[in-house]
Parts: sequence; C-alpha cells; structure tokens
Amino acid sequence: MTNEVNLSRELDAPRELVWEAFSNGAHVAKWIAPEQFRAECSVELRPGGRFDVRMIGMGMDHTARGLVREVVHLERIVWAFGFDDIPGREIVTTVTFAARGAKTALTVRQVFPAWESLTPAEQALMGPRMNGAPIGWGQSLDHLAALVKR
Amino acid sequence: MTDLDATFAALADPTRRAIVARLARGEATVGELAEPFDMSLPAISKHLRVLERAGLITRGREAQTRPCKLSPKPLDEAIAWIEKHKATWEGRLDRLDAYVQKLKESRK
Repeated sequence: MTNEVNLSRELDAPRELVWEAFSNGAHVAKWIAPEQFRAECSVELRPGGRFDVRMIGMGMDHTARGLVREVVHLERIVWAFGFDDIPGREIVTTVTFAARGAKTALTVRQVFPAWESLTPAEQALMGPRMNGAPIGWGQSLDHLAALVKR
Repeated sequence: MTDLDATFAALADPTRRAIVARLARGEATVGELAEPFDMSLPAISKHLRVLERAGLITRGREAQTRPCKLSPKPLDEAIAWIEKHKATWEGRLDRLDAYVQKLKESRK
C-alpha cells in the first residue's frame, strides 16, 4: 500500500495523558493546526461521533468534516473525513496508542483514495487540496525519483 | 490547471509512468518507447504530448525521430508536494508532544 502516510513517535508522557490530548475538541485544537493557523475542533470520541477540524489562517477558512469510525479506549481512534463536493471519497486516519512504561508509543496512519480510482474531475478537486498527500502513485514517484537520481 | 495539477494528471496514467521510467534510463525515440506496449504509434504520441505539456519531457527538434528526454523538475516538485503532507503530521506530533508536556506539568 502506497497511498498512505505512516508515522510513529514516542512521547514522554503516560498514555492516559496522550489519550486526553485527543479526547475533545478543545485539546485537539491546541496541536492540530500548523503554524500561522488556528483551529476550532469538535471531537466526540464514540463511533459515529464528530471529528470536525476548522482551520483558520493565511486568509483561509476551511472545515474538514470527519466522522469517528472506531474507538478502543486508550488504544486506538479511527476517523474518516471527506469533502462535501467529492462524495464517497474518504481519507481515513488511524492513531494507535501503546504504553511504554511512563511513555507512549504513538502511530499515525493516513490512507487516501488511490489516485487512479478518482475521476479526472475528482482529481482536479482533490489534487490541490490534499496538502501534500501521497496518493496512489506515491510508490511510482519514489521509484521514478530513485531512477532519476541514479 | 497549475503546473502541479498537470504533473499529477500526466502521471496518473500507468503507460505514461512507464514511459517516464524508461526515459529515466536515457533518451529514446517514439518507436523505441512504443516497443514494450501493445499500442499504436499515434497512441504513444498522444501520451508523449501529455507528458510534454506537463513539462515532464522535452523532445528534440532534429529530423523525424525527435528523441524524447526526461525533464526532472516537475517530478521533483510532485515529490516535494508529497513530502509536505508527511511534514504536516510531523509538525502536528511535535506540537502534540509539547502540549502533553504542558498537561503533564500542570498535573504535578
């Protein structure tokens, strides 16, 4: 699978505290927005709950409406978000939490629709908006980049 | 369409990706590029025009062969765009880390 981003990080805080930082919109808003942006978030950690992130800054005001798919307390949160004008094409984010003594190992996995599966109209809408998303051709590009650099 | 959109659209097709991969090994004529595909020369030429418009390849002016050559700049831009998304989450985790440290301090 190449249409996804995978990251892991060990945080020097107990798992309960890291979980808390995801547990409501006020907490999430403190860390989810990039520099020069502020966020307003509405997060309900239960299946079917909201995971809305409104980003305001640099002359933009954009809301990504998400829906929580799965919650395993202290272990895992899965949510999906899409765009109003591209129905049925979702970006699914999974965050896992694992206790490592007094620390927490966090993983983030974000899966995008395969680029080739989108219609040209959807590609035109999705492309500029994805903020650097590695879509279906990610591996091909890596492969090509390696060839080009040779 | 931005340059980046044109690059993504051009690379969204497997034949065109294969052509780009072939050209990464060195320049080639349309005939040479068509060889591995079960496709007519006009069909290959059409793909080459899309790649040329996106700035991914350039074509020689000499004679009839007009050899194709890879132009890596748009590809580099597309890769940089992909890297940006990963950087978004990296930044987020940095801020999350700082925020949980603050929470930790406040609970002491």
